Amino acid sequence: MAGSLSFMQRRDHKTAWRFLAPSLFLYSLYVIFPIFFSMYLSLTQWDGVSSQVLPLCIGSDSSCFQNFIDLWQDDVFWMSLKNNIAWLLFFSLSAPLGLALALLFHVKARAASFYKSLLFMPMVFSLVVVGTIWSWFLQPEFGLVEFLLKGVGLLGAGENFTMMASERWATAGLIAAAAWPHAAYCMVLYLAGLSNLQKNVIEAAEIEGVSKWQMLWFIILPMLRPATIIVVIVTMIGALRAFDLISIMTAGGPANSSNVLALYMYQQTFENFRYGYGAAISVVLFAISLLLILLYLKQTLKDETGRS
Amino acid sequence: MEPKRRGPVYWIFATVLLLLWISPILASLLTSIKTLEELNEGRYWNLPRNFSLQNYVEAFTVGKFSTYFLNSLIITLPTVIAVLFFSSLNGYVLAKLRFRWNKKLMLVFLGGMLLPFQILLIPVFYLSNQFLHTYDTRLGVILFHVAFQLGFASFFMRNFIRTIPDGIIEAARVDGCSEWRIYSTMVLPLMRPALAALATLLFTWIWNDYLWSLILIQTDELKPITAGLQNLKGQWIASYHLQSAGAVIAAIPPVLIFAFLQKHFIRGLTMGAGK
Repeated sequence: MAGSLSFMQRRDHKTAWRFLAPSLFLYSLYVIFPIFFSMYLSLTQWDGVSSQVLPLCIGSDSSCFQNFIDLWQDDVFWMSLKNNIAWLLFFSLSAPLGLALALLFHVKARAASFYKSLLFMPMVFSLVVVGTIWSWFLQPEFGLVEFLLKGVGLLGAGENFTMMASERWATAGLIAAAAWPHAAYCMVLYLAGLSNLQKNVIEAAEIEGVSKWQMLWFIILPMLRPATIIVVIVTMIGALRAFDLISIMTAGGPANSSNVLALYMYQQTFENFRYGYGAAISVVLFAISLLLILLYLKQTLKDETGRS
Repeated sequence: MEPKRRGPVYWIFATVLLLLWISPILASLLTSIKTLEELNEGRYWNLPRNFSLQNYVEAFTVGKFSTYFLNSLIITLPTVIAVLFFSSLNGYVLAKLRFRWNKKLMLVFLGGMLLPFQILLIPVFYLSNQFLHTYDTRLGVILFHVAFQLGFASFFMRNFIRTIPDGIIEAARVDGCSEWRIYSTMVLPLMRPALAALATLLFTWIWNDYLWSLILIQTDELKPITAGLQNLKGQWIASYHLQSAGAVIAAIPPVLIFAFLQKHFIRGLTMGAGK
């Protein structure tokens, strides 16, 4: 019966559509359709109010891609993109940090699970909470970091710790704050990976007398590959999504030096009411993320076929 | 890999590291029970002179945290329940029905969960404002969260339902059970661990959301606690005693969930990560 469905399949199809219908409706409305709508808006100069939204090139002699041409010449856009790259590079350090914590706290003791719970804790905080806490942690004059640095003599009595007011260092402070909960998350993923490692391989290596570093580099790390792939993807997506923390701690300042695409898009759209321009920024951000998304989907498909 | 036993040197090092790691938490707890006078004297990082919950009372009353807290619950709880319901239905279809679009649908759900939110901001704002008239309501935020979380949740549920043997479902079909009955009376009860794990994750994510309430809610009285905390920062700029109390209040529900349901939470994270 080529081309036609069996009775059972037809019955399954009917049920499937019925079960999926509400979800598909909501998902198309709020997730699928908006992607294309944003792409369309990026070709317009919509102000958020007018009911007619036509692409720029219709009825005028400007290019349809005028927003993107403007972006190319926008210093803040490049600054934000540069900061996003810095986020991608340095936020990723939370992965080795999470691995180090996981290796360190993968111990046998009743206290260990209590220690681990406390280490995981930052992971469940809202980034608004993390931002609030870290803002005064890093404050000049009375922040705890300044207090500690003065305590060990790294900062003189008259000096202040002004990291977050510095155009050069503000992003570093933000990434450090963001890495705090994220490293905890990486630690959870790596701990799960560690407890799944095959005992006999490790034991065999121990009998062979390999050094600790050889063990880590040649045996443990390769076996942790599945965990690492997930960690890398969630970390990179996290770096591209960075918004809450920056909006709360620096609002992109000083002088846009810590701005990123996600926040710049928000500012252009909802503060300057340049919806078309904001949409264009979001399309750029989407294009970058799409590479990661496709990579992730490919990996998942590979795992699926490998398993079944 | 088997965990090892460690000696006292290890434990000293581990304890110092742990204290450093949680020092931001300790600092906020400490600040939250200090009086403004004490902070004004410059006693920021000393132990508090006396224990007082006055800041918490003030956050709840003057800072309107009782309203924000309630709003967060009103937004979070229905969202979690709706996502659990719909995603388990989707998961059942994707895992157990012979449906032609299974794989493609799964990829769409999975891809959506990694989207940068910015690509959705303007259209969702526009939709809520012009068409659905859910702008500036808590329902508007709930609807968006339900839709967006369905991506990850459906994939999560599918992975779990796949581990249920086909045999028992086939047997029920042969007996003439409808798919709805199989789902609701056989599959759903077996899914309790997955539902619990997913519920803890969803609760935390929705509770902690800031961006979508910023976009979709304007009226202060409807805002959730994350936006409320940000308001508190804006209105009382240097009142760190209030801010820290506010931060602690906003963190309590996820921390409680994590403390009491840690096993589910961790299993959810590692299961969701595709293991």
